[in-house]
Amino acid sequence: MSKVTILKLGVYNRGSIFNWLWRNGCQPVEECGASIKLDDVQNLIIPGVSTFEKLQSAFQNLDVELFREKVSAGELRVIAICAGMQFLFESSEESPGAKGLGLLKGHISKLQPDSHQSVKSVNIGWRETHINTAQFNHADPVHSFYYCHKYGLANVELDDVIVGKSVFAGVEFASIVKWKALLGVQFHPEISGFAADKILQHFDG
Amino acid sequence: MPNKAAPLRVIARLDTKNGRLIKPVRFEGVRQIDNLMERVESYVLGGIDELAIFDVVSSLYNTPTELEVVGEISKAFSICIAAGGGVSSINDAEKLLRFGADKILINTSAVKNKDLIRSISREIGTQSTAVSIQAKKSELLGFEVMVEAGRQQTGMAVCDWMSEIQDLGAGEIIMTSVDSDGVNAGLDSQLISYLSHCQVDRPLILGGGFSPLSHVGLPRVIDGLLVGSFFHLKGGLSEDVRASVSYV
Repeated sequence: MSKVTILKLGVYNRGSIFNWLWRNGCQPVEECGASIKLDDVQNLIIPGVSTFEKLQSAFQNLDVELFREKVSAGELRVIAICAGMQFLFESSEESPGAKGLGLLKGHISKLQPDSHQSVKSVNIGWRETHINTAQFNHADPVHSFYYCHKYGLANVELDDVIVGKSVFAGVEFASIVKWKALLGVQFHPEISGFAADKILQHFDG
Repeated sequence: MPNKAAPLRVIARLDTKNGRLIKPVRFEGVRQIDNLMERVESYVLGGIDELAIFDVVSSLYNTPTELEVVGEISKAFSICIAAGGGVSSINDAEKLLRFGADKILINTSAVKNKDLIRSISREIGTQSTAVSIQAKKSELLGFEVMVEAGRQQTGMAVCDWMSEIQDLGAGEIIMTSVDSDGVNAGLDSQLISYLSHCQVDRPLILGGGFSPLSHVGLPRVIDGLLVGSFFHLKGGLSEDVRASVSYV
């Protein structure tokens, strides 16, 4: 049973994340940024029902350089969900002035509907996701996951870091990002059906 | 990459009372429905997109929300759960999230305390803050916002309230017709027509009275349907719901 540390974010979908991990035989432990000892953590989840600003507060007391070293060396395996994934980048329109981890280059913005479409400004629901299966181990090149977000990394092409993308309001946005031992997903794997449980295999290395 | 229009979302509505599934009729009369978990399993296997759990009683009498129901479902299924009923503080929202909710539904309290929408969306993000509206036909206002399980008038027009809650931080709107709720006689066509003239920038889900017998043309402003009785009483499938509506 692998131990998985969840970064505590104050109010977030704690029960849903715990239930997901329990269902998959993991042993979840919740810790706030100040008390996480990076030397003792192998598997970390950055949850996503949150905001960029709240993530900044949660990471305030965490040694970001050590975090980067551990991820680079493969000693710390991370799954970052939704707003958690967005926080891997540098900044976000959601919280002007707030600084993200900057482990990945890019600015998170509102997914602006293009003018010809009468769509809403929040992307909620099951959406087809196109996966670069050469870079990300997944059986299907197209798979539906459940999304619930307003912001994202817009106008992307698949490469060796952006390994999955989806489209909302005519804007292609990053839905799976991968760098070293870091995996970020814009969708919510904890509520995307049992098929999405495979995301947890990331912790197996 | 194709940019297909998003398909209609189908959300199963569960109303709970003392940990049991019930079916209110026009928000008032109650029928009890058994075998909660078996039913939820059939809805999930039947292709619903999400679940919305309401606790009508807690909103009326301020009793604890049915956290156990949320917890049981979250443990067993990998599906988005929006939960509400008597959410009047960030602490109430936190409890629901601790048991397994992914989104928070606010209704009566949002009308009484508008700052609640702002404070919850600041904590969990706009996208996870849903506001539910009980709409009732009104001579004066077109459709009026009702609270306390559809019993109390607010004097606010539905279109105006939608604009206001979007500015306050609502990420999604769940609209239920008080007159059509639970009677299985078809969606409220007058409400549909009224909504098509409102400015809505958030996903809008319509509920109250769905029946597969009457084919309905929906304006694009409606992103999904909230379905209760048809699933609970008729054992319907999501594809039956999708097949009986089309966008116009």
